[in-house]
Amino acid sequence: MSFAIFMQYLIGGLAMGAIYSLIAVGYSMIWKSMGLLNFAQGPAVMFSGFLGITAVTLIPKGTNPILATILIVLFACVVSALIAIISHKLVHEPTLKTALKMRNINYEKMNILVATLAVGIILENTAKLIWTGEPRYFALPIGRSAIIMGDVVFSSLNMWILGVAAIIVIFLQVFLFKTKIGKAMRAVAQDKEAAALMGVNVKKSLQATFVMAYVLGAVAGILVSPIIFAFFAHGPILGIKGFSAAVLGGIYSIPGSIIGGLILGVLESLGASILGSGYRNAVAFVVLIAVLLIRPTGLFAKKVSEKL
Amino acid sequence: MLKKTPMQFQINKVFSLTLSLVILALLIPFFIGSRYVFHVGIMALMNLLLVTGLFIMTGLTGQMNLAQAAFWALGAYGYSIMVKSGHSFLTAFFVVIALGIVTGLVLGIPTMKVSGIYFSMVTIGFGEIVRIVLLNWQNLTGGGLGIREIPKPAFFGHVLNATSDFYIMAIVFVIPCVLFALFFFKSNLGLALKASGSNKIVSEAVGVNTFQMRVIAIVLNSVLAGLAGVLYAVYYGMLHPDAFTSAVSFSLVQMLVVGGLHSFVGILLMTPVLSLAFEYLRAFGEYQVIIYAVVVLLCVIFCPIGVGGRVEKFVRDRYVRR
Amino acid sequence: MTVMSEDKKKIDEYVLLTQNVTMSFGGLNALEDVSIGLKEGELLAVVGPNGAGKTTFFNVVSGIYKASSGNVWLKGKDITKTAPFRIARMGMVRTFQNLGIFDNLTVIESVCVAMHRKCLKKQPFMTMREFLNPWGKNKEKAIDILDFIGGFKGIENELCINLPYGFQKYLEIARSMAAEPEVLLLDEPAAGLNQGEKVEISKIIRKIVSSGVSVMLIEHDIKMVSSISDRIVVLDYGKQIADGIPKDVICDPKVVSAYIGKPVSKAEIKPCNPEGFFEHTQKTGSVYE
Repeated sequence: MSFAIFMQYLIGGLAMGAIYSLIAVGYSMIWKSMGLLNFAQGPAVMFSGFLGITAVTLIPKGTNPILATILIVLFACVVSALIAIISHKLVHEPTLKTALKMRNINYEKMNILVATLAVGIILENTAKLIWTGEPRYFALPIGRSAIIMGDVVFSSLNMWILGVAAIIVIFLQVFLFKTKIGKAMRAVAQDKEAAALMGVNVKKSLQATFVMAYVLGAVAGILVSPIIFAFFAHGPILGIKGFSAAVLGGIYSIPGSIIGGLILGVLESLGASILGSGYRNAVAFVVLIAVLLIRPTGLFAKKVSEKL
Repeated sequence: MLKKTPMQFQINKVFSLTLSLVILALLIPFFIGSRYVFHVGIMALMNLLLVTGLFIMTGLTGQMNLAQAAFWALGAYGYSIMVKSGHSFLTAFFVVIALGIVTGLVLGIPTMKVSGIYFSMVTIGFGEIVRIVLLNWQNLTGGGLGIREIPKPAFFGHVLNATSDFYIMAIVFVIPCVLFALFFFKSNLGLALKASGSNKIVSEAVGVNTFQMRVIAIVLNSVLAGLAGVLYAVYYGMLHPDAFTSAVSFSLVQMLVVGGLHSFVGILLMTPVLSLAFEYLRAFGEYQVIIYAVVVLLCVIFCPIGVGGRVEKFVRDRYVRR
Repeated sequence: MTVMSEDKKKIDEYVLLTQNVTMSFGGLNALEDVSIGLKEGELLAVVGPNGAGKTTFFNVVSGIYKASSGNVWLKGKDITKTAPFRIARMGMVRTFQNLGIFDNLTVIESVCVAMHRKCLKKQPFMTMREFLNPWGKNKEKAIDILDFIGGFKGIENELCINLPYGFQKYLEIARSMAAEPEVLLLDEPAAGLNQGEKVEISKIIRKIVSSGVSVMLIEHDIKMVSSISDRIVVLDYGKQIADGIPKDVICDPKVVSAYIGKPVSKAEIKPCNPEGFFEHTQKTGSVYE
């Protein structure tokens, strides 16, 4: 493989990896604070891609491309946040409440699993209903040009994705460590009861965590749809890949999830170049299983001894 | 804390009652005689077999299995490939069982240290890998075209072709498996399995080899799902990987939870009901899946022990003497 | 594994023996150089302030943790690296401080699980007769054990999680006995019980010891422990600080210092009389036979 082609695969992989990172962080945040695996994350990402398509039709032609993109992203974020709040209130809170009444942990886990699965299915099929079941083409106003560096040619969209993702990561750091809400979310993720005793409104924090995760997913959805088209069946696949990324990096660690996403993106891209595009998705699953069997806590997790 | 009634008391009375109900229900299609009813019956029986496997693995032993469709697919494809290369039904049947055992061992043994939610992740990965392999291994599985024209088996000289024939075959397959499951649950082995799922550390402290129990549960699940695959291949006569997606696995898990994670009686009652409901919702066209998902969601929120579990509890509270 | 001859003699002398066991988690030593031996037919209590490492000790002995260094011997066999279920089958069963019950099982089923190993060899699957009449030999034996412990009349078919807390504690002991152990490790069996229940459970424990089982007991209630144990070992911050008969141990200045938190001298300790502490037993008759 020539250097130029390798670089192209690498850049493409990093860009997809950035997308996976965003999804992975969403999983990680919800897992840390609620012990929930949000199976609706992937469908939510896919859903926001469709929201982008609608947003594009709403924006008047001739608007500055960057402004237009920002508006599209905002639209998707706001609607996704609404979905997050609604699904949290309607589904998660009642399920968690009834689960707490049962003392049997198995019920609690399975019920929440099935509940988030159901939400994911509803999102998926609503998308299918509203925007038909066919893959829809979606182009952002930005990122349409090609960048040429010597022999290496790649779409500027990749640069935009990496740029946006980097900005979001920085924003996330600031948010989680400097703002009150962010600190509250971290406190709740570490120890719900202690946080409550410290005066943190746990319920609102959990809601905020949820919204945060969905908003991240929304941005990811907007960024990824130009590459892979908006298609309802992408939901679960994106979900599993984002999830593999989180597991790879360590589902308890947000920086880990980010790096895990990048690694996964690159591995997938290189793997597809070797094995053929049909097996592209398989890379994520092989990585997932390998990580779970060898080091379930992920690459970057601190070793925590479990006391009985 | 409300006092809950024991679910296990005089269990055999309730089991026998449910089993009789189920057997009676099985006879209904013969009286109606329409092809569609037989079809729904076959679907319900296949689902029952699949959910029974799930019950053993997830309900009893606590290993969340989100890839039941993959086990199902392996059985279906295994059978079809054998039969299309000229082997007899019996050979193919035993190959499927062997394949089920091997799959169970492959999934169960390396995952010794993996438990709980992480195990469910492994199953998801496993499920998708199986589907991708089925889609891409053209020479063996026909890839995107699938397998067609699977020859129908013949029993007692009669080649199966009417839907009612397949219905009878489904009964012959599924009911013994269900009976086996019932006997298994109340046996020493079943109890040990249940204990290892209920509390791993404590059961180890009294001598239960929880690892062995987990492997047995996965193998049983794999074999039962494989048998359901044989049914599928025989009845439909053709296979395609798209019939065995993760969405299918999820809907099976939904059936398990709505039936009752720990209540086999609940499963026996609810699986046919849910299969029927799903078929009935077909009339709503595109809204079918959404309405079904909403119904499942409501069941999970309001009946955490499963609708079937609630029913079983109700029956035991009211009609079973202490 | 080569063993020195004096060591071997020591190993044979004790039915359960730990030798220089150290257990470290990261940089923290939960146990340091602990060597405790349990003689056959003896009731040995392991006490110490919170965080002393008592439950960790049990976890190492019962195979849940592998000791960072040192050995554990059961009836002459090295079980340092053996899996917990195998240790249980070799004859050592334990209870748990707070994890101890099966969520989905009834009382009778909990007890039967412990017996399953012996039954599995004869008959893993259910026969038709058992299907029609579920109260077979297995269950009768379980009822016998429940009667031996006492107090379970009429609630055999209750789900374990429905039982009152005290009954759950008794059930744990009954379940452990059903596995026919030679060594029984009880982790705070009297935690959360009231005084009357403590007397009851003390009687049950002594009954178990009399029936030939060697028992090692973790408890916080010094009064209870000193009135029923043959010997007491005290742990503090993972180290052994005392080992002897109750009378000596509870008056030991090192032990008192550990509990109070500041050093005391022998002169400051009032002369103590362990039998006198447990007034109940004086009135109702000693739990010693």
